[in-house]
Amino acid sequence: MQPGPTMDQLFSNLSVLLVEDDAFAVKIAQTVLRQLKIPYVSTARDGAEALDILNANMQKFELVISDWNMPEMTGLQLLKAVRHKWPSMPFIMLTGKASPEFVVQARENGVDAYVVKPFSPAQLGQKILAVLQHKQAK
Amino acid sequence: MSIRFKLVAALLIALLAAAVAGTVATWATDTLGRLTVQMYDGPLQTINFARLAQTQFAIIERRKHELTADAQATILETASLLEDLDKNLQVVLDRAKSVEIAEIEEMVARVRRDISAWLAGGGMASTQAELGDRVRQDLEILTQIAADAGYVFREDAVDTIDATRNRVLLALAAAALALAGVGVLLVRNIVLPLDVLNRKMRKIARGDTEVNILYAERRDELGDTARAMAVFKQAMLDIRDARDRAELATKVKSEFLAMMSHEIRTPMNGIIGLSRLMLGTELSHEQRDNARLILDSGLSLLQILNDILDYSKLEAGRLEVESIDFDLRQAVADAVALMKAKSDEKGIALAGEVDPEVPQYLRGDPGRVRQVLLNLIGNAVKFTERGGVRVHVRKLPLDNPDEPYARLRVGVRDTGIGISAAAKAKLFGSFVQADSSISRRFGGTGLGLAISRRLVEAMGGDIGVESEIGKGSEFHFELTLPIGIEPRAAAHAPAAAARPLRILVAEDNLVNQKVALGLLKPGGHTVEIAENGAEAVEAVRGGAFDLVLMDMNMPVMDGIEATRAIRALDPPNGVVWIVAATAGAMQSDIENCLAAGMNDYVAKPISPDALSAALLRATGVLEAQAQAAENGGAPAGPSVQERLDTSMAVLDESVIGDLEAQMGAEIVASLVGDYAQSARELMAQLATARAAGADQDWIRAAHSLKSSAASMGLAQTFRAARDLEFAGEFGDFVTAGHICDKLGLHIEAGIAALEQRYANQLAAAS
Repeated sequence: MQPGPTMDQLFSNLSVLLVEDDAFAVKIAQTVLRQLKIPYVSTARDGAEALDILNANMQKFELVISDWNMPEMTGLQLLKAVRHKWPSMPFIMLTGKASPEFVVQARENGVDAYVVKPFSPAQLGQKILAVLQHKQAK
Repeated sequence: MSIRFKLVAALLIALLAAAVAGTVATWATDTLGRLTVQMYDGPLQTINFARLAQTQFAIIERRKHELTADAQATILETASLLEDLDKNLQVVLDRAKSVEIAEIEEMVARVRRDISAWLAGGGMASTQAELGDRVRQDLEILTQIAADAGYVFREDAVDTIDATRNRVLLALAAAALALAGVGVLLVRNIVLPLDVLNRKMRKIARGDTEVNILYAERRDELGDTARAMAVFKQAMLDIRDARDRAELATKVKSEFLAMMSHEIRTPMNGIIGLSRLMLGTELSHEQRDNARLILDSGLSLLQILNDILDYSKLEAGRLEVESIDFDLRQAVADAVALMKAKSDEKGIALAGEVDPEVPQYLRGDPGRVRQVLLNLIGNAVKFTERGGVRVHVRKLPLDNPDEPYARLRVGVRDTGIGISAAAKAKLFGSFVQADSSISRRFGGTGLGLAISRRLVEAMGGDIGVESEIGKGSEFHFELTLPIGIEPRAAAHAPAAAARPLRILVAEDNLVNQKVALGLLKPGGHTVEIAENGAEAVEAVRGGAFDLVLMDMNMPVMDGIEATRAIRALDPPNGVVWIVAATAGAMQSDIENCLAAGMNDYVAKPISPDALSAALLRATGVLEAQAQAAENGGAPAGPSVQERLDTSMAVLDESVIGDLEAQMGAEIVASLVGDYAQSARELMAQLATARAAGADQDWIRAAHSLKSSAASMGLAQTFRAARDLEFAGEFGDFVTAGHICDKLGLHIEAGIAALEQRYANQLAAAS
């Protein structure tokens, strides 16, 4: 583990935007994030709503966690839109299957990390921690 | 016997049968008619005459007392009647063979005698009366005999009619039999053999040269046909031989091209790679210029080589044209930008313009469009010393303006040396330049325009040129392309670097080793070198590498063999990611690499872009593998989805157990209600969307159901929802319907299993 702030310190004041179209998946993710003691979690039901929320409350969010497979605007399109406007916004992608095509596309478009569903609190926590530590190191 | 003779014979037999049947029928009709007439006439007349004689005798008898001239006449008439009677009786008796003629004659003679005696008168009145009585009696008897004879004759006639009818039927049956026989003979002799020949012919046409040709010995038209087929079969064999020889020749040509391309690419790999590396180091101004010239020369040599390979692919008809959305303005701008350096060097202008009416996005092959444009612009720049080159794209009217297509004319106009009318005609052929002296002045393979023409034709367009010596030329092509949509943004955004990898470079050539090291080191990768395939296999056996960059042609053991040997090793070393570095750029080389078990390939000379793309692909796969391992717990453990895929239980213990271990049973229990509500809602949405035919909506609902069931470890619900999503995406709505019927049951069974498992927690919560 790299030296730096601990998980508790980093998460204690963290504000996350969760983008997920399926209500039960939202519930699971919220439960996991609550277990990780992340205090502020907002949810958006699709990419367009996520962009609206980000545009309105830019300062408040320190991390975007988005599903990959969504109707209308996919996670990839949201990632591109976010990278276009906020190049340094940490972005974690949730996916049902980490196929090589997915990994290459996500990485090419600058995703910070991805987590394969279903995931445990520990898995997601490790990923969030790594992303935030990496950003602080920069 | 020839078929036409058989046909004529059959025709004659048919005519003969018809004639016989007709003759018999005619004869029968005649006979029957005559018999009918006789049957009525003969007996009736006889009877009538006999009755007449009786009546007249009565008249004569009554008038006997007043012997007048009239009476005399009556007597004479009576006598003549008697004669007629006699004759008629004779006729009747001839036919009715049962009656004794002598007796009749005798009776007739007595009647005559009696009448004569009676007419002579004299004698006693009593004698007179007796005579009269006897005549009347005899006549009565004769009448009776005539009637009997008529009856007998009628019976006789009926028999004859029957016999005649039977004869007619017999004749008709014989005729029919004869015709049927002729028909059977015709079918057996002509139709069936024709069928057989027909089938054989089809077999031969399909290429089955083992066909045994029947009927060749026959001396008729069928025999002629069979013998012609034998000739045809021989011709087929000859053609096949010729084809095989031609294919062999093509194969040899391809091999030659591949070999040549390899032989040229190997040293070029060194030239291009090392000059690139050199340009990245500290150089004096002059050294930098020289290194750049070396690189440019190498690249243009590579272009020529690619032209030749392209041309050979075109020749073999193996060129594939893509159909993707692209931005034509971008393609034109790219081509102009690429050639700008050359035009600037020559001090001539180069500009591109696309009319505003041209649609922004089209669907076609942007790479090929760019290739044609580059070729035409390159030629124009090459042959223009003063003035400039202008690319102009405009829209032409469509035949049917409502169609979603755009007809475009792309023109490349220069102010160069121009082309003579005679040269124009040959210009688009292979290896042709307008003037052979030109190639000495300007260089080039002379393949560019031939390739351009074929590319444009492959895209469904036409290419042409207008030119005037000394004033310049305009090359132009027309394409009709579907109007496209904005393509997915290319990966220009933050350039992703592959994470540092442990790489083994298997390469015997020192120059190429140096190039590979130079390209890989800056990326932070750890690189080891193997001098040949055998060393590479040993290195992989002993050490943990993420990736092997494998040259194809090496001493001791070549890349293909080495790959097979590595693939025979145990995992994880045996499944290492292998990238072929192949100088042969032909499709068959690539196929050979992949067939041997390689994962990817890069063409030599290796370009930095191609190499980093290959490394990125490898990184993606390695990460995906690592991720799968991480999710499954143990490195080789199955993922959640794999576990659910094979679980027989409604609720998979291992998945739900992991979930509890990670989140706590209380929390998992608190999710049960949410799951139940979400799953039932999704099922209802799914049913509504299916009823409404909103395919995308119900496929999404199935996807969400699959995902949430996976989270909760509900194996059967997961599988049903996954299969439903799969069926939906493949448009298999029948299967989808079957699965959908069962999905609701799986969901309810799953909810029941969850509620049972967490009964205590749920009771405590409520």
